[in-house]
Amino acid sequence: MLQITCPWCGARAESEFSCGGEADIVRPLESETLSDEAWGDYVFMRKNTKGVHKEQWFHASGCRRWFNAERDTVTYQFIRTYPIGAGASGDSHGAD
Amino acid sequence: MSDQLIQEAPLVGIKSKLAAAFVKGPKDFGLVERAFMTHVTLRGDPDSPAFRGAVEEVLQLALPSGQTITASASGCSAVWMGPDEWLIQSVEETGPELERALRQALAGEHHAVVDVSSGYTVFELSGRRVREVLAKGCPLDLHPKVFPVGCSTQSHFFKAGITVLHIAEELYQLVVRRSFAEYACLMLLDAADEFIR
Ligand SMILES: [Zn+2]
Repeated sequence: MLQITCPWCGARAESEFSCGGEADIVRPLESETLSDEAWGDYVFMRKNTKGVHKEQWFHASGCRRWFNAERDTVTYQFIRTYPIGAGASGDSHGAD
Repeated sequence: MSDQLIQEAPLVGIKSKLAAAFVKGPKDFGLVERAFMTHVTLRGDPDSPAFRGAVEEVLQLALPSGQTITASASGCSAVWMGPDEWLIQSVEETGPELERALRQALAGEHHAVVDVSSGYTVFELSGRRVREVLAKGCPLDLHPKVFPVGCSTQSHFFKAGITVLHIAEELYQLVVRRSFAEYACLMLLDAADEFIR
């Protein structure tokens, strides 16, 4: 089983978490003037990265908080996890 | 005419099963339900001195900021549930009073207080084999060096969400959702089978 480091609870078993898909997707601001294609892109289209991918994760059976993770989709290694909004320079927890 | 409410413990449906499992007495593993304990969910900004001050004044305890339990002299305890969430527990049935007192003290502060007593029940697990039984369905590292007495955290026991409180050396409390109580108890009995047979 994988261990995932929750920014608040520390290293925990994978079975306590659920994945929420690609991170850092920004909701369009002027949605009333948005084309159907742009809406479709926002709602449905996701990257299918081979390599390091930013994802949202949820500590479902723990503190029930969402956070972001950088994960390698080839090796499944979690490179780091960090609170949403902490961005590139925020508090992060490397994989052990 | 029913002008009287009779509370039913969440495990009432499997009472006989529970009794039958422990006919030989709780030797290496024991399980007792502590129904009707008070549970109040509290949320607020842990960095706000006004929030902390108001809560600590009412509860007479220091709110924990890590995965630990703090207790007051009057039998009230606070369990860390997340960075801005706590579970206030009491053996007395004082949910509505506690909710009211906290709301009054926190008026004007950004907060949430909800009496959730009826949604939960508590299992008290004890005995020499208690960690082994828990470990069958819970992925936490329960070694006393990692999860010592006074620690608490949320996890799962098979498919049931649980809050685990380490009360004493061989004594743990599980706070379980009422709707999951029967399931969690039956899974615990199954996990403990080899130790209570
Ligand atoms: Zn967590």
